[in-house]
Amino acid sequence: MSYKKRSDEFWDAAELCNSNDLYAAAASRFYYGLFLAVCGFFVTKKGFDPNPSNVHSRLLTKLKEEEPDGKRDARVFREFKDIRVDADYAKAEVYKIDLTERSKADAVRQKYLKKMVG
Amino acid sequence: MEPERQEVFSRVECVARERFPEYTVVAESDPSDSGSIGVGVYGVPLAEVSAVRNIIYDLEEEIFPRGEYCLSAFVRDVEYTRQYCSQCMPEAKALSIDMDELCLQLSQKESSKWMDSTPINGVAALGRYASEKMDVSIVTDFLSSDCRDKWSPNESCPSSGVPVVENNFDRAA
Repeated sequence: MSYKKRSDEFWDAAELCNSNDLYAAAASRFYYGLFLAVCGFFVTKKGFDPNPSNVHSRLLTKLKEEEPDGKRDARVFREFKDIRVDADYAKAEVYKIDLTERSKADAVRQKYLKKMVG
Repeated sequence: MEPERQEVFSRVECVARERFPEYTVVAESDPSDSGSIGVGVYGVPLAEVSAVRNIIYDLEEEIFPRGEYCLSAFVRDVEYTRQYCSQCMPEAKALSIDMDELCLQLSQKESSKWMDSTPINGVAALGRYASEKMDVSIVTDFLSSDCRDKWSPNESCPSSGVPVVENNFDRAA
């Protein structure tokens, strides 16, 4: 699997959903677009085990502890993660993800996609 | 849940409640990730949701400085909180209500205003009060019109199907 290709695909799908008022679907794809970029970097460059067991929290811990701006990036990552849990599991309403939030998340995504090939 | 994990859940819940005395807080499982502990905060005004979420992320470093657990922030806004009965709301089991305060609020007929700030406590507490002291139809008069529509005695929780009166109004204690 190409992490970059799938991350880009998920991100594009999320943008489409978000602009068509499909907010839960958008939230889910935004998160996985971000997740795959960060996960791809750690798998490719740091030998991270992408086994599904606790993979989200394990990845968060790696991000916080091992990257220079990891704490800041983790804050963005986890916010999208938690919104996505609501989108996938809870009955809570998911609201439109605005441009500011998306831009922050996309910046983190792009950063780790670059680092993955760098 | 194993005792050690239960203890961690209790600790998280305790600290989060101290931080958010104005809201109903309960530690939950993160359904997608057993390595995280969810902190559910209910009845938060929409404008505050993001701020509360970020405070929970700060709490994580305070409670788990060595990164033992991640905290997931499940912050529910007021509207969501109003829609479900206590059986479907995990925080119902954790409600702590000052009944004297409730009675005072009711007697002053300020519950509409009060409901806006503490909706789930308000609904559940009203329910308990109703079952013990008052006729339900009287209690619904205290609810805001918006909330009254959703919590009519004849309606059922949209998730469990349990009638609101039999469920929330009787077992909110």
